[in-house]
Amino acid sequence: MGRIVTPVKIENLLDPSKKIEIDALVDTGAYMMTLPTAWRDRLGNFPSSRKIELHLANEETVEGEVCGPVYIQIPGFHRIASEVLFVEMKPANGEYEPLIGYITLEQSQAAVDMVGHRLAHVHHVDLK
Amino acid sequence: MAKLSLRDLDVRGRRVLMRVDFNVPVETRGGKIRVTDDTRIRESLTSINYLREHGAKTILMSHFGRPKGKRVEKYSLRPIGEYLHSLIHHPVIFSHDTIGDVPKKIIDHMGSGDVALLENLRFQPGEEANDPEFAKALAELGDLYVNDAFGAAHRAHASTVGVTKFVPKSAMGFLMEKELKHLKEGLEKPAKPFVVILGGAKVSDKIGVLKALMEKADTILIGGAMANTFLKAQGIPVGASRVESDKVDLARELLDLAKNKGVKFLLPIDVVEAEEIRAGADMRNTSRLSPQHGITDGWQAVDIGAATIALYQEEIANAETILWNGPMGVFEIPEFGEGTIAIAEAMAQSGATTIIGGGDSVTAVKQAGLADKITFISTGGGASLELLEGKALPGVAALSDRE
Repeated sequence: MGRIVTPVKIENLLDPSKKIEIDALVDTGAYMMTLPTAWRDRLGNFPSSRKIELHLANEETVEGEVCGPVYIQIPGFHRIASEVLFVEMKPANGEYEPLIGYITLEQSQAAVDMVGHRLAHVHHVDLK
Repeated sequence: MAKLSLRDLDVRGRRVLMRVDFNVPVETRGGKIRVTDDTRIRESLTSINYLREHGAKTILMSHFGRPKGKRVEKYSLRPIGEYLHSLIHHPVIFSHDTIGDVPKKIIDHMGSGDVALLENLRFQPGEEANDPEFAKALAELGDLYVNDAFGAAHRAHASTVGVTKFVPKSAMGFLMEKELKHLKEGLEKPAKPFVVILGGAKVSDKIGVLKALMEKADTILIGGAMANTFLKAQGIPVGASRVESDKVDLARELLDLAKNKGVKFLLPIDVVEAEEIRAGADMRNTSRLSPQHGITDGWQAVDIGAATIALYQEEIANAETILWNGPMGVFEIPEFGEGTIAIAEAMAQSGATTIIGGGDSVTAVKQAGLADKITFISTGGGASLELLEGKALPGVAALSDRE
Protein backbone atom coordinates (compact mmCIF):
# COMPACT_ATOMS: atom_id res chain seq x y z
CA MET A 1 0.00 0.00 0.00
CA GLY A 2 1.36 3.40 -0.92
CA ARG A 3 1.71 6.42 1.30
CA ILE A 4 -0.18 9.61 0.64
CA VAL A 5 1.38 12.77 1.98
CA THR A 6 -0.37 16.08 1.44
CA PRO A 7 0.14 19.72 2.47
CA VAL A 8 -2.18 21.04 5.19
CA LYS A 9 -2.71 24.52 6.59
CA ILE A 10 -3.78 24.76 10.24
CA GLU A 11 -4.75 28.06 11.81
CA ASN A 12 -5.82 28.97 15.34
CA LEU A 13 -9.36 30.20 14.81
CA LEU A 14 -9.01 32.83 17.54
CA ASP A 15 -5.54 34.01 16.55
CA PRO A 16 -5.05 33.84 12.76
CA SER A 17 -1.40 34.89 13.18
CA LYS A 18 -0.75 31.48 14.74
CA LYS A 19 -0.72 29.07 11.85
CA ILE A 20 1.39 26.29 10.42
CA GLU A 21 1.71 24.85 6.93
CA ILE A 22 2.96 21.29 6.97
CA ASP A 23 3.04 18.04 5.05
CA ALA A 24 1.02 15.29 6.72
CA LEU A 25 0.51 11.59 6.16
CA VAL A 26 -3.04 10.49 5.33
CA ASP A 27 -3.89 7.82 7.90
CA THR A 28 -7.47 6.55 7.82
CA GLY A 29 -6.76 4.60 11.00
CA ALA A 30 -6.05 7.83 12.89
CA TYR A 31 -8.91 9.64 14.59
CA MET A 32 -8.26 13.24 13.69
CA MET A 33 -5.59 15.78 12.68
CA THR A 34 -2.69 14.65 14.85
CA LEU A 35 0.37 16.79 15.58
CA PRO A 36 3.45 16.40 17.77
CA THR A 37 3.17 18.05 21.20
CA ALA A 38 6.42 19.83 20.38
CA TRP A 39 4.45 22.03 17.93
CA ARG A 40 1.73 23.05 20.37
CA ASP A 41 3.17 26.53 21.08
CA ARG A 42 3.37 27.31 17.36
CA LEU A 43 -0.43 27.37 17.27
CA GLY A 44 -0.82 29.70 20.26
CA ASN A 45 -3.34 29.46 23.07
CA PHE A 46 -6.56 27.50 22.80
CA PRO A 47 -9.73 28.26 24.77
CA SER A 48 -10.63 24.59 24.82
CA SER A 49 -8.56 21.53 25.48
CA ARG A 50 -9.12 18.11 26.95
CA LYS A 51 -6.97 15.06 27.61
CA ILE A 52 -7.92 11.76 26.00
CA GLU A 53 -6.50 8.25 26.02
CA LEU A 54 -5.42 6.77 22.72
CA HIS A 55 -5.13 3.08 22.00
CA LEU A 56 -2.42 2.44 19.45
CA ALA A 57 -2.11 -0.43 16.98
CA ASN A 58 0.74 -1.90 19.08
CA GLU A 59 -1.72 -2.09 22.01
CA GLU A 60 0.08 0.72 23.79
CA THR A 61 -2.07 3.41 25.47
CA VAL A 62 -0.87 7.00 25.34
CA GLU A 63 -2.35 10.30 26.43
CA GLY A 64 -3.17 13.04 23.95
CA GLU A 65 -4.58 16.55 24.18
CA VAL A 66 -7.39 17.70 21.92
CA CYS A 67 -7.26 21.47 21.34
CA GLY A 68 -9.35 23.88 19.35
CA PRO A 69 -10.98 25.45 17.60
CA VAL A 70 -8.77 25.55 14.50
CA TYR A 71 -9.34 25.94 10.81
CA ILE A 72 -7.83 23.10 8.78
CA GLN A 73 -7.44 23.27 5.03
CA ILE A 74 -6.11 20.66 2.68
CA PRO A 75 -5.47 22.48 -0.63
CA GLY A 76 -8.31 21.81 -3.08
CA PHE A 77 -10.78 20.81 -0.35
CA HIS A 78 -13.27 22.56 1.94
CA ARG A 79 -11.78 24.49 4.82
CA ILE A 80 -13.16 23.04 8.04
CA ALA A 81 -13.51 24.19 11.63
CA SER A 82 -12.27 21.43 13.85
CA GLU A 83 -9.77 20.48 16.56
CA VAL A 84 -6.26 19.04 16.58
CA LEU A 85 -4.83 16.25 18.68
CA PHE A 86 -1.37 16.69 20.18
CA VAL A 87 0.56 13.55 21.10
CA GLU A 88 4.17 12.85 22.01
CA MET A 89 5.80 11.79 18.73
CA LYS A 90 9.29 10.51 18.06
CA PRO A 91 10.89 12.11 15.01
CA ALA A 92 11.80 9.68 12.25
CA ASN A 93 14.96 10.65 10.36
CA GLY A 94 14.90 13.92 12.28
CA GLU A 95 11.37 14.83 11.21
CA TYR A 96 7.97 14.50 12.78
CA GLU A 97 5.19 12.84 10.80
CA PRO A 98 1.84 14.53 11.50
CA LEU A 99 -1.28 12.54 10.56
CA ILE A 100 -4.53 13.44 8.83
CA GLY A 101 -7.20 11.25 10.43
CA TYR A 102 -10.63 10.18 9.25
CA ILE A 103 -12.63 12.95 10.98
CA THR A 104 -10.57 15.55 9.12
CA LEU A 105 -10.94 13.65 5.83
CA GLU A 106 -14.71 13.26 6.22
CA GLN A 107 -15.28 16.90 7.09
CA SER A 108 -13.04 18.02 4.22
CA GLN A 109 -14.99 15.69 1.90
CA ALA A 110 -11.74 14.03 0.93
CA ALA A 111 -11.54 10.35 0.06
CA VAL A 112 -8.46 8.22 -0.43
CA ASP A 113 -7.88 7.25 -4.04
CA MET A 114 -5.86 4.07 -3.64
CA VAL A 115 -5.18 3.76 -7.35
CA GLY A 116 -3.99 7.31 -7.95
CA HIS A 117 -2.34 7.58 -4.52
CA ARG A 118 -3.97 10.93 -3.88
CA LEU A 119 -6.96 12.46 -2.16
CA ALA A 120 -10.10 12.79 -4.26
CA HIS A 121 -12.98 15.16 -3.68
CA VAL A 122 -16.28 13.56 -2.71
CA HIS A 123 -19.09 15.76 -3.99
CA HIS A 124 -21.78 14.21 -1.85
CA VAL A 125 -21.09 12.93 1.62
CA ASP A 126 -23.72 10.74 3.18
CA LEU A 127 -22.51 10.34 6.72
CA LYS A 128 -25.46 8.14 7.58
CA MET B 1 -51.19 38.05 19.19
CA ALA B 2 -48.94 37.14 16.26
CA LYS B 3 -45.32 36.49 17.12
CA LEU B 4 -42.26 38.07 15.56
CA SER B 5 -40.75 36.09 12.70
CA LEU B 6 -37.11 35.70 11.75
CA ARG B 7 -37.85 37.71 8.61
CA ASP B 8 -38.90 40.67 10.82
CA LEU B 9 -35.40 40.91 12.31
CA ASP B 10 -32.49 42.93 10.98
CA VAL B 11 -29.82 40.28 11.40
CA ARG B 12 -26.93 41.66 9.33
CA GLY B 13 -23.73 41.67 11.36
CA ARG B 14 -25.67 40.67 14.49
CA ARG B 15 -25.06 37.69 16.74
CA VAL B 16 -28.17 35.56 16.37
CA LEU B 17 -28.62 32.89 19.01
CA MET B 18 -30.89 30.24 17.51
CA ARG B 19 -32.43 27.30 19.40
CA VAL B 20 -32.69 24.33 17.05
CA ASP B 21 -33.75 20.75 17.61
CA PHE B 22 -30.78 18.57 16.70
CA ASN B 23 -31.97 15.75 18.95
CA VAL B 24 -31.69 13.27 16.08
CA PRO B 25 -31.44 9.47 16.14
CA VAL B 26 -27.86 8.22 15.90
CA GLU B 27 -25.98 4.95 15.99
CA THR B 28 -22.34 4.13 16.68
CA ARG B 29 -20.65 2.51 13.70
CA GLY B 30 -16.93 1.93 13.34
CA GLY B 31 -16.40 3.78 16.62
CA LYS B 32 -18.03 6.91 15.25
CA ILE B 33 -21.46 8.36 15.93
CA ARG B 34 -23.55 8.43 12.75
CA VAL B 35 -26.80 10.27 12.16
CA THR B 36 -29.48 7.79 11.08
CA ASP B 37 -32.30 10.28 10.45
CA ASP B 38 -31.31 13.86 9.66
CA THR B 39 -34.83 15.25 9.13
CA ARG B 40 -34.66 17.70 12.03
CA ILE B 41 -31.25 19.01 10.91
CA ARG B 42 -32.37 19.41 7.30
CA GLU B 43 -35.60 21.12 8.38
CA SER B 44 -33.59 23.78 10.22
CA LEU B 45 -31.50 24.59 7.13
CA THR B 46 -34.00 27.14 5.80
CA SER B 47 -33.42 29.35 8.85
CA ILE B 48 -29.66 28.66 9.02
CA ASN B 49 -29.14 29.46 5.34
CA TYR B 50 -31.30 32.60 5.61
CA LEU B 51 -29.15 33.84 8.49
CA ARG B 52 -25.95 33.09 6.59
CA GLU B 53 -27.19 34.76 3.41
CA HIS B 54 -28.24 37.83 5.41
CA GLY B 55 -24.82 38.23 7.04
CA ALA B 56 -25.64 37.14 10.59
CA LYS B 57 -23.26 35.40 12.95
CA THR B 58 -25.29 32.30 13.70
CA ILE B 59 -24.90 30.63 17.07
CA LEU B 60 -26.83 27.36 17.23
CA MET B 61 -27.85 25.60 20.43
CA SER B 62 -29.69 22.35 20.97
CA HIS B 63 -30.24 19.50 23.37
CA PHE B 64 -29.23 15.94 22.45
CA GLY B 65 -30.31 12.87 24.40
CA ARG B 66 -30.79 12.85 28.16
CA PRO B 67 -27.45 13.51 29.87
CA LYS B 68 -29.33 14.80 32.95
CA GLY B 69 -27.38 17.96 33.63
CA LYS B 70 -23.84 16.61 33.34
CA ARG B 71 -21.26 16.12 30.62
CA VAL B 72 -21.67 12.71 28.99
CA GLU B 73 -19.35 12.39 25.99
CA LYS B 74 -21.71 10.16 23.96
CA TYR B 75 -24.23 13.00 23.99
CA SER B 76 -21.79 15.61 22.70
CA LEU B 77 -23.12 17.62 19.76
CA ARG B 78 -19.68 17.56 18.09
CA PRO B 79 -20.62 14.84 15.53
CA ILE B 80 -23.83 16.72 14.73
CA GLY B 81 -21.76 19.82 14.01
CA GLU B 82 -19.60 17.77 11.65
CA TYR B 83 -22.73 16.50 9.93
CA LEU B 84 -24.14 20.02 9.61
CA HIS B 85 -20.90 21.10 7.94
CA SER B 86 -21.50 18.48 5.22
CA LEU B 87 -24.96 19.98 4.57
CA ILE B 88 -24.11 23.69 4.50
CA HIS B 89 -20.60 23.33 3.02
CA HIS B 90 -19.29 25.89 5.48
CA PRO B 91 -17.22 25.35 8.62
CA VAL B 92 -19.31 24.85 11.73
CA ILE B 93 -17.26 26.06 14.69
CA PHE B 94 -17.92 23.83 17.64
CA SER B 95 -17.76 25.24 21.15
CA HIS B 96 -16.74 22.59 23.66
CA ASP B 97 -18.51 24.63 26.36
CA THR B 98 -22.13 25.75 26.25
CA ILE B 99 -21.66 29.06 28.07
CA GLY B 100 -18.75 31.15 29.33
CA ASP B 101 -15.39 32.25 27.94
CA VAL B 102 -14.98 29.55 25.28
CA PRO B 103 -18.12 30.37 23.25
CA LYS B 104 -17.62 34.10 23.90
CA LYS B 105 -14.11 34.03 22.43
CA ILE B 106 -15.28 31.94 19.46
CA ILE B 107 -18.19 34.29 18.75
CA ASP B 108 -15.91 37.36 19.02
CA HIS B 109 -13.85 35.92 16.17
CA MET B 110 -16.77 34.93 13.94
CA GLY B 111 -17.40 36.82 10.72
CA SER B 112 -20.72 37.54 9.02
CA GLY B 113 -22.15 34.33 7.62
CA ASP B 114 -20.22 32.11 10.02
CA VAL B 115 -21.92 29.38 12.03
CA ALA B 116 -21.08 28.09 15.52
CA LEU B 117 -22.66 25.27 17.48
CA LEU B 118 -22.65 25.23 21.28
CA GLU B 119 -22.18 22.02 23.25
CA ASN B 120 -25.31 20.16 24.40
CA LEU B 121 -27.57 22.42 26.47
CA ARG B 122 -28.55 19.53 28.71
CA PHE B 123 -24.98 19.13 29.95
CA GLN B 124 -25.98 22.07 32.13
CA PRO B 125 -28.42 21.47 35.01
CA GLY B 126 -29.79 24.98 34.50
CA GLU B 127 -31.31 24.10 31.12
CA GLU B 128 -34.19 21.87 32.16
CA ALA B 129 -34.59 23.76 35.45
CA ASN B 130 -35.08 26.97 33.44
CA ASP B 131 -32.51 28.58 35.71
CA PRO B 132 -32.42 32.38 35.16
CA GLU B 133 -28.64 32.52 35.64
CA PHE B 134 -28.07 29.94 32.92
CA ALA B 135 -30.63 31.64 30.67
CA LYS B 136 -28.81 34.96 31.16
CA ALA B 137 -25.46 33.35 30.33
CA LEU B 138 -26.96 32.01 27.09
CA ALA B 139 -28.48 35.39 26.25
CA GLU B 140 -25.06 37.06 26.60
CA LEU B 141 -23.95 35.11 23.53
CA GLY B 142 -26.44 36.78 21.18
CA ASP B 143 -27.94 40.13 20.22
CA LEU B 144 -31.14 38.47 18.98
CA TYR B 145 -32.82 35.17 19.75
CA VAL B 146 -34.66 32.84 17.37
CA ASN B 147 -36.51 29.68 18.32
CA ASP B 148 -36.70 27.14 15.51
CA ALA B 149 -36.97 24.08 17.77
CA PHE B 150 -40.61 23.14 17.42
CA GLY B 151 -39.89 19.71 18.93
CA ALA B 152 -38.80 21.40 22.19
CA ALA B 153 -41.36 24.22 22.22
CA HIS B 154 -43.63 22.42 24.70
CA ARG B 155 -40.86 22.54 27.32
CA ALA B 156 -40.31 25.65 29.46
CA HIS B 157 -36.53 25.39 29.58
CA ALA B 158 -33.79 28.04 29.81
CA SER B 159 -33.06 27.89 26.06
CA THR B 160 -36.73 28.02 25.01
CA VAL B 161 -38.31 30.36 27.59
CA GLY B 162 -35.82 31.76 30.12
CA VAL B 163 -33.48 33.21 27.52
CA THR B 164 -36.22 35.39 25.99
CA LYS B 165 -36.30 37.55 29.12
CA PHE B 166 -32.70 38.66 28.58
CA VAL B 167 -32.68 39.53 24.87
CA PRO B 168 -34.25 42.60 23.27
CA LYS B 169 -36.06 40.64 20.55
CA SER B 170 -36.99 37.00 20.14
CA ALA B 171 -38.61 35.51 17.07
CA MET B 172 -39.84 32.31 15.44
CA GLY B 173 -37.63 30.53 12.93
CA PHE B 174 -39.05 29.32 9.63
CA LEU B 175 -39.51 25.71 10.77
CA MET B 176 -41.44 26.86 13.83
CA GLU B 177 -43.64 29.02 11.58
CA LYS B 178 -44.27 26.12 9.21
CA GLU B 179 -45.23 23.76 12.03
CA LEU B 180 -47.67 26.28 13.53
CA LYS B 181 -49.14 27.04 10.11
CA HIS B 182 -49.98 23.39 9.40
CA LEU B 183 -50.83 22.10 12.88
CA LYS B 184 -52.63 25.15 14.25
CA GLU B 185 -53.94 27.35 11.47
CA GLY B 186 -54.37 24.47 9.01
CA LEU B 187 -56.48 22.45 11.42
CA GLU B 188 -58.55 25.32 12.79
CA LYS B 189 -61.17 24.82 10.10
CA PRO B 190 -60.17 21.62 8.31
CA ALA B 191 -61.83 20.63 5.04
CA LYS B 192 -64.47 17.99 5.75
CA PRO B 193 -64.68 15.06 6.16
CA PHE B 194 -61.87 15.36 8.71
CA VAL B 195 -60.49 11.94 9.68
CA VAL B 196 -58.16 11.54 12.66
CA ILE B 197 -56.10 8.37 13.07
CA LEU B 198 -54.68 7.79 16.53
CA GLY B 199 -52.46 4.94 17.57
CA GLY B 200 -49.63 4.29 19.97
CA ALA B 201 -49.34 2.62 23.31
CA LYS B 202 -51.39 4.55 25.81
CA VAL B 203 -54.84 6.11 25.97
CA SER B 204 -53.56 8.23 28.85
CA ASP B 205 -51.11 10.00 26.51
CA LYS B 206 -53.89 10.96 24.13
CA ILE B 207 -56.86 11.89 26.36
CA GLY B 208 -56.44 15.62 25.87
CA VAL B 209 -55.90 15.37 22.15
CA LEU B 210 -58.85 12.97 21.73
CA LYS B 211 -61.20 15.31 23.54
CA ALA B 212 -59.97 18.35 21.61
CA LEU B 213 -60.18 16.62 18.23
CA MET B 214 -63.70 15.36 18.91
CA GLU B 215 -64.76 18.99 18.53
CA LYS B 216 -63.58 19.03 14.92
CA ALA B 217 -63.24 15.49 13.58
CA ASP B 218 -65.93 13.63 11.67
CA THR B 219 -64.26 10.26 12.16
CA ILE B 220 -61.66 8.96 14.59
CA LEU B 221 -59.85 5.70 13.80
CA ILE B 222 -58.10 3.98 16.70
CA GLY B 223 -55.19 1.54 16.48
CA GLY B 224 -52.11 0.45 18.40
CA ALA B 225 -52.09 -0.80 21.98
CA MET B 226 -54.41 2.02 23.04
CA ALA B 227 -57.17 0.28 21.07
CA ASN B 228 -57.03 -2.63 23.55
CA THR B 229 -58.24 -0.43 26.40
CA PHE B 230 -61.23 0.67 24.28
CA LEU B 231 -61.95 -2.95 23.26
CA LYS B 232 -61.93 -3.99 26.91
CA ALA B 233 -64.31 -1.13 27.71
CA GLN B 234 -66.70 -2.70 25.18
CA GLY B 235 -66.46 -6.05 26.92
CA ILE B 236 -64.26 -7.67 24.28
CA PRO B 237 -61.67 -10.13 25.69
CA VAL B 238 -58.16 -8.83 25.03
CA GLY B 239 -56.08 -11.88 26.07
CA ALA B 240 -52.62 -10.92 27.27
CA SER B 241 -52.62 -7.66 25.31
CA ARG B 242 -51.26 -4.50 26.84
CA VAL B 243 -54.16 -2.69 28.53
CA GLU B 244 -54.34 0.31 30.85
CA SER B 245 -56.75 -1.25 33.33
CA ASP B 246 -57.16 1.98 35.28
CA LYS B 247 -58.23 3.78 32.10
CA VAL B 248 -61.05 1.42 31.04
CA ASP B 249 -63.73 3.65 32.60
CA LEU B 250 -62.17 6.66 30.92
CA ALA B 251 -62.22 4.82 27.59
CA ARG B 252 -65.93 4.15 28.11
CA GLU B 253 -66.48 7.87 28.81
CA LEU B 254 -64.61 8.81 25.63
CA LEU B 255 -66.75 6.39 23.60
CA ASP B 256 -69.89 8.00 25.07
CA LEU B 257 -68.53 11.47 24.40
CA ALA B 258 -67.92 10.60 20.76
CA LYS B 259 -71.46 9.23 20.47
CA ASN B 260 -72.94 12.40 22.00
CA LYS B 261 -70.94 14.60 19.66
CA GLY B 262 -71.88 12.56 16.61
CA VAL B 263 -68.28 11.59 15.89
CA LYS B 264 -67.78 8.26 14.15
CA PHE B 265 -65.36 6.53 16.55
CA LEU B 266 -64.02 3.34 15.01
CA LEU B 267 -62.11 0.61 16.82
CA PRO B 268 -60.41 -2.41 15.23
CA ILE B 269 -62.98 -5.01 14.17
CA ASP B 270 -60.22 -7.61 13.97
CA VAL B 271 -56.55 -7.71 14.95
CA VAL B 272 -53.37 -9.66 14.32
CA GLU B 273 -52.65 -11.61 17.50
CA ALA B 274 -49.31 -13.18 18.41
CA GLU B 275 -48.14 -15.55 21.11
CA GLU B 276 -45.41 -13.11 22.05
CA ILE B 277 -43.91 -9.87 20.83
CA ARG B 278 -40.87 -10.97 18.87
CA ALA B 279 -39.98 -11.56 15.24
CA GLY B 280 -40.89 -15.09 14.20
CA ALA B 281 -43.51 -15.61 16.93
CA ASP B 282 -46.69 -17.52 16.03
CA MET B 283 -49.29 -15.04 14.74
CA ARG B 284 -52.72 -15.04 13.07
CA ASN B 285 -55.58 -12.76 12.12
CA THR B 286 -58.51 -13.03 14.54
CA SER B 287 -62.09 -13.44 13.42
CA ARG B 288 -64.40 -10.46 13.84
CA LEU B 289 -64.08 -9.22 17.42
CA SER B 290 -67.10 -9.35 19.72
CA PRO B 291 -67.71 -9.98 23.43
CA GLN B 292 -67.99 -13.67 22.51
CA HIS B 293 -64.96 -13.78 20.18
CA GLY B 294 -62.05 -11.78 21.48
CA ILE B 295 -58.29 -12.12 21.47
CA THR B 296 -57.15 -15.60 22.49
CA ASP B 297 -56.17 -16.14 26.12
CA GLY B 298 -52.41 -15.66 26.51
CA TRP B 299 -52.08 -14.03 23.05
CA GLN B 300 -51.55 -10.34 22.36
CA ALA B 301 -52.84 -7.89 19.76
CA VAL B 302 -49.83 -6.71 17.72
CA ASP B 303 -51.45 -5.03 14.71
CA ILE B 304 -54.82 -4.15 13.24
CA GLY B 305 -56.33 -6.98 11.18
CA ALA B 306 -57.15 -7.26 7.48
CA ALA B 307 -60.84 -6.31 7.84
CA THR B 308 -59.90 -3.27 9.94
CA ILE B 309 -57.34 -2.20 7.34
CA ALA B 310 -60.06 -2.34 4.65
CA LEU B 311 -62.49 -0.40 6.86
CA TYR B 312 -59.95 2.30 7.69
CA GLN B 313 -58.78 2.54 4.06
CA GLU B 314 -62.37 3.31 3.03
CA GLU B 315 -62.64 6.11 5.60
CA ILE B 316 -59.29 7.53 4.51
CA ALA B 317 -60.28 7.44 0.82
CA ASN B 318 -63.38 9.56 1.54
CA ALA B 319 -61.58 12.16 3.68
CA GLU B 320 -60.62 15.71 2.72
CA THR B 321 -58.29 16.21 5.69
CA ILE B 322 -56.41 13.45 7.53
CA LEU B 323 -54.34 13.75 10.69
CA TRP B 324 -52.33 10.75 11.91
CA ASN B 325 -50.40 10.23 15.13
CA GLY B 326 -49.21 6.87 16.43
CA PRO B 327 -48.62 3.48 14.78
CA MET B 328 -51.31 0.84 14.40
CA GLY B 329 -49.20 -1.95 15.90
CA VAL B 330 -45.71 -3.03 16.89
CA PHE B 331 -44.39 -1.88 13.52
CA GLU B 332 -40.72 -2.09 14.59
CA ILE B 333 -41.13 -5.83 13.95
CA PRO B 334 -41.87 -6.07 10.21
CA GLU B 335 -44.42 -8.92 10.57
CA PHE B 336 -46.48 -6.68 12.84
CA GLY B 337 -46.15 -3.57 10.68
CA GLU B 338 -48.61 -4.33 7.89
CA GLY B 339 -51.44 -2.25 9.36
CA THR B 340 -49.22 0.78 9.96
CA ILE B 341 -47.76 0.61 6.44
CA ALA B 342 -51.26 0.13 4.94
CA ILE B 343 -52.43 3.32 6.69
CA ALA B 344 -49.36 5.19 5.42
CA GLU B 345 -50.05 3.96 1.86
CA ALA B 346 -53.74 4.86 2.06
CA MET B 347 -52.83 8.38 3.20
CA ALA B 348 -50.26 8.75 0.43
CA GLN B 349 -52.83 7.66 -2.19
CA SER B 350 -55.65 9.87 -0.92
CA GLY B 351 -56.20 13.26 -2.50
CA ALA B 352 -56.74 14.76 0.95
CA THR B 353 -54.59 17.19 2.91
CA THR B 354 -52.50 14.77 4.96
CA ILE B 355 -50.71 15.68 8.16
CA ILE B 356 -48.56 13.47 10.33
CA GLY B 357 -48.23 14.74 13.86
CA GLY B 358 -44.75 13.53 14.73
CA GLY B 359 -43.59 10.46 16.62
CA ASP B 360 -43.35 6.88 15.39
CA SER B 361 -45.83 7.36 12.52
CA VAL B 362 -43.19 9.61 10.91
CA THR B 363 -40.69 6.75 11.07
CA ALA B 364 -43.27 4.41 9.53
CA VAL B 365 -44.00 6.75 6.62
CA LYS B 366 -40.29 7.15 5.97
CA GLN B 367 -39.66 3.42 6.13
CA ALA B 368 -42.41 2.96 3.56
CA GLY B 369 -40.71 5.59 1.32
CA LEU B 370 -43.88 7.69 1.28
CA ALA B 371 -42.74 10.86 3.08
CA ASP B 372 -42.80 12.97 -0.09
CA LYS B 373 -46.45 12.05 -0.69
CA ILE B 374 -47.63 13.51 2.62
CA THR B 375 -48.69 17.18 2.77
CA PHE B 376 -46.93 17.90 6.06
CA ILE B 377 -44.88 15.88 8.51
CA SER B 378 -44.26 17.45 11.90
CA THR B 379 -40.81 17.26 13.51
CA GLY B 380 -42.26 17.34 17.02
CA GLY B 381 -44.11 14.45 18.70
CA GLY B 382 -44.95 15.83 22.16
CA ALA B 383 -45.14 19.42 20.94
CA SER B 384 -47.56 18.57 18.14
CA LEU B 385 -49.84 16.65 20.53
CA GLU B 386 -49.94 19.58 22.95
CA LEU B 387 -50.67 21.98 20.12
CA LEU B 388 -53.46 19.75 18.80
CA GLU B 389 -54.84 19.62 22.33
CA GLY B 390 -55.19 23.39 22.11
CA LYS B 391 -52.50 24.15 24.68
CA ALA B 392 -50.20 27.15 24.29
CA LEU B 393 -46.58 26.09 23.73
CA PRO B 394 -44.31 27.86 26.27
CA GLY B 395 -41.52 28.20 23.70
CA VAL B 396 -43.84 30.11 21.37
CA ALA B 397 -45.72 32.11 24.01
CA ALA B 398 -42.40 33.50 25.31
CA LEU B 399 -41.43 35.07 21.94
CA SER B 400 -41.81 38.78 21.19
CA ASP B 401 -45.19 39.91 19.91
CA ARG B 402 -45.35 41.51 16.50
CA GLU B 403 -46.16 45.17 16.94
